[in-house]
Amino acid sequence: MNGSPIFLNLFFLWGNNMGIALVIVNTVDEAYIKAVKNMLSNRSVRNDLWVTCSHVVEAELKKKGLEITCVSINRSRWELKKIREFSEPLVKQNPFYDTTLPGTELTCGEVLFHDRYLQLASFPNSLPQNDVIASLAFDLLVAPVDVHDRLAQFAVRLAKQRGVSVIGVQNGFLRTKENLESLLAYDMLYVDSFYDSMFLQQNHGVKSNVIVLKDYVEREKNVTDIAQNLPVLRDKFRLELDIRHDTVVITLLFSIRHIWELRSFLNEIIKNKNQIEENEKNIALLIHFEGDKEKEEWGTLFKKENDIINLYTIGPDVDLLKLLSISDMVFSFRLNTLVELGGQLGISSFVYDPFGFNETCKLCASSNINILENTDVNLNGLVNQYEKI
Amino acid sequence: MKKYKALWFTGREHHAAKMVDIIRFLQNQEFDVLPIVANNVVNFDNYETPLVLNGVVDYKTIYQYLNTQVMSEIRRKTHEMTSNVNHIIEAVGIPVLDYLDEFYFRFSYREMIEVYELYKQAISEEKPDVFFILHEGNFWGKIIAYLCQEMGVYCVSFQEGDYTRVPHCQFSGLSLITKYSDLVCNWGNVHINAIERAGADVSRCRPLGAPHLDKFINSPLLISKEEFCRKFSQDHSNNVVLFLLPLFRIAPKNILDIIDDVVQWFGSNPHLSLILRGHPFDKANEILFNQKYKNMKNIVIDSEMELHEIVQFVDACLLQQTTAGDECLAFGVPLIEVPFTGTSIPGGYYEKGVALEIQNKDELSIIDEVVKDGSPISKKFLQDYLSNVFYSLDGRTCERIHQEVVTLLESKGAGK
Repeated sequence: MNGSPIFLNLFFLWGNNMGIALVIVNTVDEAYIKAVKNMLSNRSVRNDLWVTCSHVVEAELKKKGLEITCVSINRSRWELKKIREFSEPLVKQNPFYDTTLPGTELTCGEVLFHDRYLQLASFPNSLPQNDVIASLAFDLLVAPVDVHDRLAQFAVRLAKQRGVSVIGVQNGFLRTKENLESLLAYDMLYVDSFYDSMFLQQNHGVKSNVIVLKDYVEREKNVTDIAQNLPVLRDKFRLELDIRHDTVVITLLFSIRHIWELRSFLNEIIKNKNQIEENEKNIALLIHFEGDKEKEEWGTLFKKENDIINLYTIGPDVDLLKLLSISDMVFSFRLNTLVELGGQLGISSFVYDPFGFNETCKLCASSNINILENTDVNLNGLVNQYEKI
Repeated sequence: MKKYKALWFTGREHHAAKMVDIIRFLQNQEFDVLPIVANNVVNFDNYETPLVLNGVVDYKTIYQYLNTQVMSEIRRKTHEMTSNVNHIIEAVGIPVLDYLDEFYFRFSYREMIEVYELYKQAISEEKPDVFFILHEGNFWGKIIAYLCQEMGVYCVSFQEGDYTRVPHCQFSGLSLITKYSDLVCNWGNVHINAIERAGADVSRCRPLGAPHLDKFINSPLLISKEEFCRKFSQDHSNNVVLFLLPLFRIAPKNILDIIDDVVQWFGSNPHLSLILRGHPFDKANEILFNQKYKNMKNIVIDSEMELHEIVQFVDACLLQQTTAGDECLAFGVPLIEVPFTGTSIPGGYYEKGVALEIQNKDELSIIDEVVKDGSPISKKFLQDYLSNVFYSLDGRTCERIHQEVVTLLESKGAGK
C-alpha cells in the first residue's frame, strides 16, 4: 500500500453474516471516529455498538451526535483485603511471574509484580468493565491501536479467543519505543501514514495487504499547502516574536524522559562553544518545553548549562506550526510529531539518539529525518551543512 | 583517597529524602559515594531534581554508561524476552494484562533489561565495594541487589516506611525484601518482625534506628512557633493540631466528610489552629481544600513544611490511615485516630495502644482535652513502643549504621 486512499470492503471478512460490530472509543478523536464510520458505512451491518470506559468521552461524543455507552461502573473503593485476595492468584498462578531476565535467575515476578504492577494495575475499575465487554456478543471488533488503552487491549484479546475479526485503527503516534514489542493482534489495521505502515511491516511483520491508510490524499495536500506557505508564516511569526530574519534558530525539544540526552547534547555544544560563536551566522538555541513539568524543572536541572550558553525557551503551549515556521533546524531525542512534521515541511530535522537507545532507526522510515547516534555533535558543521538561509 | 568506594541508587524523591543523611555521614567518614540515578519512564518522573534539592551536585546517570555493546545486549535480550512473553500470551494468557495497560507491561520488561545492563556496566566500570539502595521492594532495588550478588559487590539496603502497615502484607514484596541484601538496616525490631511474618529471611536485618531522624533530634527547632504563626496568620496563643491525611486511593469513601466534620469543629473552636497536611502523592487535594476552607482563619492547608519541622510545635496529631504517626510520637506529639466508622482502624495506632480514637463528630472535644492535659497514655508504654519502632532516638543512628557497614566490609577484606 503506497498511499492510495483505499477503503477496503470488509464484507469478505464476515462472509455473508452482517453481524454486530463492537467499537471501542476512549478518546475524543474525530479522525478516529471518522475513519471508523467510513469503514462501517461501506457495508450493511445489523448494528454497531460504540462503547467507552470514560464518562467524559461519552458526554463529549454524545454532544457530537454519536450513540455511545459508557461501560465504566463506579465501584466503592475496594478494601485492601479484597485487592490482596484478588491479586494474589494473578501473581502466584502467573506463568510470566517465573520468566527470568535472559541470562539470569532474576524473575520478572520479583522485579515487577510486587511493586510496580500492583500499583499500576487497576483492579476495581477494570474488573466490571471487562465483565461488561465479555458479556457482549459481537461479530467484529473495532479498537484503537493504543497500548495505553486497557479496555481496548482486553477486548482485542477476548475477540481473538472467540475467533472474532479485529480491526485496529490508529489514534495517536504509533512509532514509539514501547510499541516495538506490543502485540498487534489485528486482522486489519487503519493507519495515519505511509511511515506507520512501513513501521508495522518492518517491525511487526504485518503484511501490506492488511494495512489501510486513512485520508492519505487529504493529509498530503494539507502538508504540501503548509510547506508552500512556510516562508510567509516564518516572516510573520518571526516578526511577532522579535527574531531577526537572518538568525539561525535551532529548536530543541525538552522532555523529562530525555534529560540525559539533552544534557549530553548541550555539553557537546558547550565543548564547541567558540566555534559556534565564531560562525558568521547568528545562531539561537531555542528550548521547547514539551509540557508544564518541563517548564517547571528546567531552571533547576539546567542551571549550569544556562549559565554557560545563551538558551532561549518557549512553550509548552506554543502552536506546533508556529514553532516549526520560525525554526531552521529542529532536534528531538525521540521520533515524534515535531521532527516528523518538520521533516515533511522541509525543515532540517534531527533525532539525537546516542547509541540508538530510543530505537529511532527502527521507528523511523522517513528519509526526511536525520538520525544522530554518535554522542559527538558537530553543531557548527550541521548548521553549515543543513541551514538553508 | 577514601578507603571504600560506594555507589548509591536514587530514582525517586523519597529515596533521596530517606537516604541523603546517612550517605552524607558516610561521605564524611572513609566512604567515597557516587550517586547513580535512573529514569523512571513508566511515571516519567524527573530523577535528578530530588538530588539537586537535597544539595547533591556530583552524581551520574546510568545512561552515561551506555555504549554500543550495552545497547546490543539490551536489544538482544529484549527481543528474546518479547518472544518468550508473546508465546505465553498466545498459549495461556497473562491474567494481569486484563487489569494493566499493555504499555506498562511491555515497557517494564524492556526497562528491566535496560536497568540491568546499564547498572552492570556501571558496576564493572566503577568497581565499588558496596552499593546502597533504599530497599529491594522496588523495581530498581531488586535489580541492583541481584546484580550485586552476581558481581560480588556488597549490597546494603535500608527501610522506606512502616512495614507493620504495608498493605497486602502477606503477599507484598516484604517476603522478598531481604533476598539479595548483605545487610538490611531497619528502623526497629517491630519492622524486622513484620518482615519475618511475611516470610523473609531476617538473618541480615539489624535494628539500628531511622537515619533520617538524626538531624531533627540533633538540631534545634527548624521552624519556631512564632514563625509559623506569622507565616500563616495564626494566633500565637492557639494550640496547634496537625491532621495527617491519608492517601485518598486507600482512604474510606467518606474521607471528605470526615475531614469536613473535623474542620467545621475547629471552625467553632477558634482557640485551636488546624494544619491540614495532605499525603505527598495527593497534591491536587490541596487546591480543593484551599478553595473550600479559604475563609476559615484557623485552618492552615500546607504540605510544603517538612513533617519534622511542624511536629516540633504541634500539640496533637489527628490521623486517618497514615503511617507517619510513629514519627509524631517520636517527637512527643499525642496521636488521635479518626476512623469515623464505628470500628478501629485495623493495625492502627489505637489498636496498638499508643493513640486515642474518635469515632464521630460528637467526640471531637477529646482534642481539646488532649491539647490541654496531654495524652493519658503511659509515658513508659510509649517509650517501650518507640524503642521497638525506632530502636533508639538518640540521634546516633548514622553512627550505628556506619559501624555495621564497616564491620561487613572488613569481614571480607573489602576496600583499599
